[in-house]
Amino acid sequence: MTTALKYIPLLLSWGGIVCALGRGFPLGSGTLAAICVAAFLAGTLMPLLLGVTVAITVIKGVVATGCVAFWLVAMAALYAATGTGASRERWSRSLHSRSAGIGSALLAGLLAGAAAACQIVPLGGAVQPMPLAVAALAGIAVALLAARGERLIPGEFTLAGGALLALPLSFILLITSSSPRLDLFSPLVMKVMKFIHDFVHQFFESMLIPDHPFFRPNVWEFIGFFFGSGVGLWGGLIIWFTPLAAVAAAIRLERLPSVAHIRQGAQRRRLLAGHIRQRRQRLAAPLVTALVLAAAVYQSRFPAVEYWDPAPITVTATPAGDLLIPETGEVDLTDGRLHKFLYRQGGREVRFMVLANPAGGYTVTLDACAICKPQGYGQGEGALLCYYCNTLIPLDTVGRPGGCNPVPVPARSVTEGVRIDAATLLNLWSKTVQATAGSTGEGR
Amino acid sequence: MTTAIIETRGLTRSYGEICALKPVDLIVGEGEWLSVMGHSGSGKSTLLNLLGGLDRPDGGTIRVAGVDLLSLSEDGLARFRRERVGIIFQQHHLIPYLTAVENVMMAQYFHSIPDEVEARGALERVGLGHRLLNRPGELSGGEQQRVCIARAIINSPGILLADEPTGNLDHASTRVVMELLAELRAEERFTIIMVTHNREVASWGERTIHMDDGILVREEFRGR
Amino acid sequence: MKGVAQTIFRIFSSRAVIPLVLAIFLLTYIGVAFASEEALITLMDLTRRSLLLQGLLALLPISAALRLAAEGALLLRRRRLFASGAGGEIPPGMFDETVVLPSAASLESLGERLSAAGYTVRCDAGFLSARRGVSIAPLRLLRLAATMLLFGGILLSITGRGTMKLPVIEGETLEWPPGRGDRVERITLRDVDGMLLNRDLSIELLSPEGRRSVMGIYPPARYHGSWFFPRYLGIAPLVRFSAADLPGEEEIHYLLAIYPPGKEDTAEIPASPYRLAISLVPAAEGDDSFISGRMSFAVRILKGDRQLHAGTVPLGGELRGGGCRVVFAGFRRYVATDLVRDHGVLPIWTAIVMVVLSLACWLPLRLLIPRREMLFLHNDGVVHAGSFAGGGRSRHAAVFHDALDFLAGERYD
Repeated sequence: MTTALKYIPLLLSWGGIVCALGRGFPLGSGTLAAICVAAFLAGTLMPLLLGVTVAITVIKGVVATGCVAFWLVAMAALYAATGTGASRERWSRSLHSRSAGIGSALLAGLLAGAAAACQIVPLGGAVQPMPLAVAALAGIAVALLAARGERLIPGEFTLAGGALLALPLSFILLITSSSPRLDLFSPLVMKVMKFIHDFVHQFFESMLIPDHPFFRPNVWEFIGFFFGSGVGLWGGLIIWFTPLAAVAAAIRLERLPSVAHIRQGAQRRRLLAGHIRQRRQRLAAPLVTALVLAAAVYQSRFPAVEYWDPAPITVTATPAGDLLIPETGEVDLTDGRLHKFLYRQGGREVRFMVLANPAGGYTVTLDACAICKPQGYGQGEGALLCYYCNTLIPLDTVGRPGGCNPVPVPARSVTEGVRIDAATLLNLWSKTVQATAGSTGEGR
Repeated sequence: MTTAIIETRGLTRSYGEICALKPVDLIVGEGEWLSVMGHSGSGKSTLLNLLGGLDRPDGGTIRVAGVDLLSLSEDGLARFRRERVGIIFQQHHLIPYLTAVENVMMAQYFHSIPDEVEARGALERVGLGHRLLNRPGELSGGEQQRVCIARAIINSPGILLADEPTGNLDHASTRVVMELLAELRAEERFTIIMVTHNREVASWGERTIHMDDGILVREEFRGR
Repeated sequence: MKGVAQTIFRIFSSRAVIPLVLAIFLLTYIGVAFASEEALITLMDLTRRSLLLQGLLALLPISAALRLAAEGALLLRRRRLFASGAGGEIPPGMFDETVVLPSAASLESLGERLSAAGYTVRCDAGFLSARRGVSIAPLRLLRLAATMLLFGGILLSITGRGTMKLPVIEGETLEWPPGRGDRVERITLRDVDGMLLNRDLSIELLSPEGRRSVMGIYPPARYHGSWFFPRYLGIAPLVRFSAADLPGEEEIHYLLAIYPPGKEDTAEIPASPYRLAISLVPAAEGDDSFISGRMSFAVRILKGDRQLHAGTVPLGGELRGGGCRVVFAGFRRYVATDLVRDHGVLPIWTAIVMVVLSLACWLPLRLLIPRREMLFLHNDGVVHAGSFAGGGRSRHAAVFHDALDFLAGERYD
């Protein structure tokens, strides 16, 4: 039931896509419905044919390419709006062609269907045909309803130029943001944060700006913002919304036609008023797009997904300086779930995790990575989620160093369970984790 | 022979049991100045309201500037009034907290977009170039009526309907307003339909029709 | 040939060149980010090694320079046109609205009308120009010049930057130039009350020829043609170490990056398994070890991975434990410095100042007193008119249309 409820926003988004395509392209409702239905159906089969992991990669790749294309189109629209009318007309006409409409409907249907199926088909488990069939049928029904329902939208509200790409793309982003596996916003935030950190650092280096001990504390606090996590979110939001702002600006900055050749004032004003009214109506699409994109950001930041995150169990070292985690007892290491532990020594503490690996042994890692603040990890389906950066780490890569993977800890599997050297654990934590955050990693 | 800009056939209007207008056939030529006289309750204001699209008749047909008013929706009628008809009321109906130029710009706003330069030009044209920033309360009756005229003509309507435009004015102001209307008509070829109970004011029109009890009883031709 | 040159000029001075090149670099960055965690460094490195990317990057200052020339020429042409109507016709693309209408009205009367509307009018036979507000064209030229300097500086910096690490130790001679380095007379750190900085560092140098110079913290000074860039402050303590299983006492001047307090650095005892993990003990409230020279060290004596002993030693004191003896006999101030050879620094900084200046001027001008202009050329009963507004468009257009109505005889005074 919960899954069915979570599926509703996806269906509504799919309906929005079909309406947008119907409004923006010169396709009859019958043609539109047929293409969308066929594409959605084909899309739902994609994870079965290619495998879920490959399908996820394909979806993310195509949507990311679409976002980059949207940026280029939006900047071109802004450039054209402040240029001559001829260039604006030319490229706008090519965007509104029937073939562009058919291509867009096919692509959107495939992506929506595939995204829908990826949310239902488990990563490693058996495929259940019934939920998939129901999802496909629901998508088909929505496509048919939306293709007809598009006529109910008042005719004054048009989709043109950059807005034509923006609205369907925003609905697709809303669909993908509902699943951490498909979400693009969180990885974008991380990449932007990294870029800004690197850029500011490089700028300081290149411009020979002194280090922080010389700065006034309040000035360094301000500079410190660019090295914090907040900058990634703000930078991500700017990148997310800037092309839309450019599209809206392109509409708003479009020059009104010259009326200098008309000698009657009322006629001049009537002509200008008509164009202003049309321009305002065309701003409705960017406004709706902004709301949809905002919803996508919200879904990305606050996913409706439950993560397994147990409270860490405190362990003590043996006289030889080892930590021994029994295979069974307080916890069962063989159950395939994430197990967290806490070790304290002389004012220092370290959180670490033990996870059974497919080879039959155990993988021991810090509950932190070398990049992010140590807010810890939770276990979702087939992956760990870093709470700081929302990056998903597939379970089969846990134990490998690098990136946002939890830092691996050398450990030995023994008959009783897992043996870890306490000093090594403490040194590793001190070395790779700059400072423990306020959180002690109490289970969520 | 001038083109007819207004044509009515069998036009009727009743308010409950009161028959304000019995079948009226009327033709007004383009650029003509028609005065409508009659005592109170004779149906002259009702006729004016119907010609301006401010009211709908109960029967008959009415074509104004080639448009069948009965075929228009409420929105269409509102658009017709905004674009084709300028109305001058006895009571002015100026917005008291807006200046003269702002009152004229209000008419532009409801028509299309406001244009202060054009509004100033219209007020200069009616001789109020020095009173642009005064509010109605600071203007004399004649000046207020001239602001009304500027407001009525700013959208180049083609047809001006005036309902007792000089009813509240003294003799001197009446003359100023009438001369202004005549001047505007000569320059812009407005069609003017003016309701009045004053014979001298009515004589400014080319033709006067007399209404009595909802019926067009008589018409006279004059000229100035 | 001239046609080809003009075509090349038009292409490279196009408004699209800079955004297009930046888009290419952005897409390249995105591609690199998939393959590398250090995407920006990798991209800079790629650019350094790739003539193609350098050529692309060079397009930016070149395009900016060409646009600067083109817009400068346009600005001059516009000035001449508005001063005297030189040229006799309205050039295409110079105005928002242009119109031709027959008119018998006098331009002088129109000039009076426009003056009354607040425009500065210049009128001559068959020519009338009216303008108000302040033009932002010079600011646009400033911004283009800044663009040219910025990307030119980035290109110079990426392709030509060289860095050399140079430890600067009080009382020692700098290692560069070899054999001719200046002697470090004194390193002084003091508190100041600056707008951005609250600490000032000065390094007094004495050249072999007896010339004195002072290297500051910012702006960086020049040393033999390179930028003298102090990076980190450190302490160079004189440590004497002896252990039961070592033949004698080692006396070493270590360079430790342990300032400000809270950082730990390691000092290896040569040819032995011993190491010292040393950090500065935070000074008392209001005191600074680097400034006052009063300091204590937190020391951990390590042999291999094992910690033998830990304790605190004041300067001049000793620590005994674990069979070892550590004495902190003295210290010298030390600054980890880079000598940077980079010709891009000045252009980039100049560009930043120019951009800030142009933005600071642009906003109030654009909002409060944007430029609005009209031009009327009267010839043989026909008027060619043009109108441009940098802001306040609708109001300016209304005045322009009113002027045209006047010329067409539609206005009655």
